[in-house]
Amino acid sequence: MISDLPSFSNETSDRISQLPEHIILRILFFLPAKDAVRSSILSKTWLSVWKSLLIFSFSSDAFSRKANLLKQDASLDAEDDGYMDLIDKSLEKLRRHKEIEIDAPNLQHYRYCVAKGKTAATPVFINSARLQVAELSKYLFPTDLPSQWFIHLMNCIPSFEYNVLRICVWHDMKNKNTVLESLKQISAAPVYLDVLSIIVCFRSFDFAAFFDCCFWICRPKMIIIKISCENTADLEDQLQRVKLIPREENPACCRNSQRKCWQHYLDDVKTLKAIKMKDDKYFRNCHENGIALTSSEVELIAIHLEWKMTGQKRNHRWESSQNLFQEHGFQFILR
Amino acid sequence: MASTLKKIILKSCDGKILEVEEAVAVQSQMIKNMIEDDCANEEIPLPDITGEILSMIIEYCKMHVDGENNSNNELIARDADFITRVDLNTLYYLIVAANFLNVKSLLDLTCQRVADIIKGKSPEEIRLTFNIKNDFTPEEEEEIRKKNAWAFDYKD
Repeated sequence: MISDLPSFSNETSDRISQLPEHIILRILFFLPAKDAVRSSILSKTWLSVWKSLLIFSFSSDAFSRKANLLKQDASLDAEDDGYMDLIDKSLEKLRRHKEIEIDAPNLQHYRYCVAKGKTAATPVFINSARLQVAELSKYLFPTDLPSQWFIHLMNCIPSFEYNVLRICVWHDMKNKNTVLESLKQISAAPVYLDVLSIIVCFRSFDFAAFFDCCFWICRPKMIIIKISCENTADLEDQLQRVKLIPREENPACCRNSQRKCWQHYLDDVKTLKAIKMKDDKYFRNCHENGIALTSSEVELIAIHLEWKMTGQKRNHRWESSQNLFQEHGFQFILR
Repeated sequence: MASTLKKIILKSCDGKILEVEEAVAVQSQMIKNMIEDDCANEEIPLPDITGEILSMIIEYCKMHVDGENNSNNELIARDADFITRVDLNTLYYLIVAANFLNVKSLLDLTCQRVADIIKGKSPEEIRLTFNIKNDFTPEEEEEIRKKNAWAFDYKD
């Protein structure tokens, strides 16, 4: 709408680019995500400015900036500071739509959390080049987890610099493994994750079954398990089972399947000594879910996995994942 | 209290002197700080702000002080009226001044205006509007487009 502006005098200087960076950022803040990212092509001054924009995240963590939620046939574009509630409410509203697409180029931490008693069938597609943590949270998993969601997630993960998939399990999984089983049917190539983080809040979690399903779609370098201490003896037993699965070239394990199962690609499993800690959030969540814990400590356990790489070669060194964990404030000692 | 009638004296870079009621002047966080530190008893020189721009900013602040009891919608309409009268050159100086004087609502209003002008335009149109010189080679430009291809997809 250039025509309704009084003409830009006879000067030819580029004033707008001379504005301090925080003002240019403010201008970009008011733009829809696509326009903000497109500013990178204006000139070298503008190339990287947008990257400092904090783009909205669904978690209550520090990243906040608007996102565009584009649903199938209409778009919702909100741009306020009190935005997080709005997004939550919007997602609630959008749930009846088939698909939600989020343009959030700087999104780093994405949490998909579904309220108690609600089903979450809407696959969310994220446009983000910087996503580092994807989190499926609370009541979502495993009963309501749509395998579609995973497929979408797969689509956007390979471009990450490093990736963390965090899954919180608050429900007892007994007899509810059908969703997990359906993960085995996903024919997409598995994703190599840096971290698969699992938070478990009840006693009878079947890790062996969980990993058996999960490894079909993602192969993490590292698994972090947060669990109340009373569960850990059982866990070690189960981990032994993971380790002891035969991994010959052509075993009978997947004769009926069209592709080789994950066991052929797992080279080694190392359990690392974990740290005990107090975690109020964990206990609060347990309490809210009616889970009584006798122990007052949470144990963090790390499992390091080595995979035979197929296709694209990826740098897969233990040191790099160790650094990753120190960045996250964890310290592990080799057992 | 007499303080509401107290006048603050502002001096623009081209020598124009403006007397402003304190209630209006404290819309500027910078001046508010000066008053609180007791540094606003003499005239306050504003080195980078011309008299014309300063008058506009005072007009804006006054509008907000007077309109305190008005409905939100009314204020938004007045803001829109104020900002659409402004040409690009003036808009630039308003941004610089709002930033210096730290009038947050005006800074947001002006930045929002620039965003509205940018919104939906192609990079070439934006460059033309603001006289931004493209200093990329075609190869570099292609590279940037590829990196965030989804943003350069104009379908929606």
